[in-house]
Amino acid sequence: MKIGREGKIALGLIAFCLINYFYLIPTQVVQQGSSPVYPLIVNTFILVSSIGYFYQSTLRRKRVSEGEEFEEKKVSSTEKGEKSIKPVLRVIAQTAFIIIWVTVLEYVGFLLSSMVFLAASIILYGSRNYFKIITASILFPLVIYLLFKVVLKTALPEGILENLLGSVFFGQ
Amino acid sequence: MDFISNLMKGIDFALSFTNIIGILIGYFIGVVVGATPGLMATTAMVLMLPFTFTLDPLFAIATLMGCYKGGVYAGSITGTLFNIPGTPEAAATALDGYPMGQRGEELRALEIDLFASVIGGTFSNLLLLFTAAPLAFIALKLGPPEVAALIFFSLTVVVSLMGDTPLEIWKGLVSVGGGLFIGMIGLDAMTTTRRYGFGIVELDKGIGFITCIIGLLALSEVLVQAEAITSLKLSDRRSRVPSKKPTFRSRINDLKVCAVDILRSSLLGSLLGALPGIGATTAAFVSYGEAKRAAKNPENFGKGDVRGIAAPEAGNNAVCAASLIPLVTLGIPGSVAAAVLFGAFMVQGMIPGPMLMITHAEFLYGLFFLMILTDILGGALVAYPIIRVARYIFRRVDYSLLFPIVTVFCAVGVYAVDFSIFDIKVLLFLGVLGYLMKKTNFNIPALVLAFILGPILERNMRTALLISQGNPAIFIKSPVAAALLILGVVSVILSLKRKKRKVITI
Repeated sequence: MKIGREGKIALGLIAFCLINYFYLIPTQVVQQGSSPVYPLIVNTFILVSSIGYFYQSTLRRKRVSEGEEFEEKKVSSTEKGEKSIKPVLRVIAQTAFIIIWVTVLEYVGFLLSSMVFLAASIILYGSRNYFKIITASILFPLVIYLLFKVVLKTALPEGILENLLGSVFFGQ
Repeated sequence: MDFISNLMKGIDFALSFTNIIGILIGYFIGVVVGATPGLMATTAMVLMLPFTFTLDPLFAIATLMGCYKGGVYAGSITGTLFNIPGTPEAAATALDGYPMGQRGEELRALEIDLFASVIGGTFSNLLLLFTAAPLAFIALKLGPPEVAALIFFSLTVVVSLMGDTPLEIWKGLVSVGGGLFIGMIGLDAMTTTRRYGFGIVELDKGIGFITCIIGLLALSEVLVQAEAITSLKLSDRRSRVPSKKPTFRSRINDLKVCAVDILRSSLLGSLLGALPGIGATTAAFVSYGEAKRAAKNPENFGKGDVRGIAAPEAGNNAVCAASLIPLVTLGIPGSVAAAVLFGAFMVQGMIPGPMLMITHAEFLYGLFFLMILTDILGGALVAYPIIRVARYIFRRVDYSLLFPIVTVFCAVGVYAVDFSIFDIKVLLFLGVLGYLMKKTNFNIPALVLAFILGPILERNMRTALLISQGNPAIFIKSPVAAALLILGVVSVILSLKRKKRKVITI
């Protein structure tokens, strides 16, 4: 029996539930001194739903007649040809940018890291107008920083630029 | 008598220049964000939420409510002008709004949108105002087993109503399970012992409500749009028909033609909105369908009929206030927007539920009064001027700037809660999870609602079991709890059967 994408996701969920039953609940709940009743109920609920999901996804595949399946395949292969890999790469790149930004945020401060992150993201989203890129990536973090510093009286992660601004404008 | 005195106290408490400015600012932000395709009214609320922590409670919640109402209305602006609805619920309005705009009557279409929204919203506000107190009084009689059963019922109803096929219903149930699971992470509220902490101390406080909704709703949307960015250009394909401005007489005539449809849709939207899980989109399409069914000349629908614009607009706006009925009377958020407001109430130190009607009656009646003002003042002072320049504003939206800026907003908003970089990492994880859920058609609203209701469900379930000394029969002994549990199970079974038939017949 061939299992489609939905079936594979359902199997993944069932596998997670089994790991939860036999490893996570004993080590992450019971060993910590917490009651396993509610986690067991929730896990059983997810397991039953995942089995229903798996059954439904395989049932649907069975029900699709040969003709319809052919149509489905034809459409998907055509789509594959037309679809560029670029959009998915853009999502991966955007996620990578966020990971890098969050990682360096506490070391270099909010302003510098956000300026670089914004400039890179704006270019990634397709803008090539360098005036716009530079203006937005400098002004927006500055406005947010000042909003936090002056209006909300709280601090964002500080670094070189924040210290410089602090000594020049706030006498710190 | 109590009602009138509470209402008068509420009006006295709420009626200030600052609060009116608050609702207008919220409404303005909602209109701008709601009209921008790719961003939802709830996204605007979610992003605003962290900035309301230090504000006065009434000002903060009224501003968020203004934002929600503005956002729900504004989706129809770009739907009417460019045939690209800013929000899903505005898709029904665009069916007739866009053809009317193409005839050069875009201002007429936008004005009907606005009038219907204001009337629908006001109708729903009044329903909330008059029903909240009696329903809260009934809700006060519910004990832990009944509350646990009610939450179970609400979650199953949400899943039954949101899924169109059996596969979607199963996915909805898995999403509910996911939300309950995420809600368990952190310290056990009853024993203060760790659960699913994996040795990470930062997880002791659990996954923050704001981190969860910003990650799943806003950041995931940014990632989805990173993929779809090329299709989000608002091309101005207006035919070269000269614009016709509506006159006073034509406006009165339009209102006469669609008065019955507006009232019917307002009632439908309010009733549907009061049920958990039925969003503005369903209300808009049901209202559109009913207006078409009742029309003597249904063939005009889809060609720019005023009734086809007014009915869905009144219906989807009537959902806004009505969706707060389960929140303020039972403490159960029936929609994602209500879930955001649930968080806003909690942040301000108020627990939504029947007790709120007793402990903060003045506050709630003040809020209801401000909501009535939001529709009227927001419509007249914010939306009416904006629709005259809307074409020029929204054609110039630069998405390459918008989404990176929203990303920074998401991170800053989460950081502002606890000043924790770890929370931003959790945000990223949830953003990617939300993106994957959207790509595989899992039900994010169901997960968010289960995440919020999970801890309440657990607390009531465990309290009930403590009362019964571990005997689960307590849930069957209470007729209300038993009925709700049976209804919950039956609603899922029936919807699976009904949807199954639907799929086969199609």
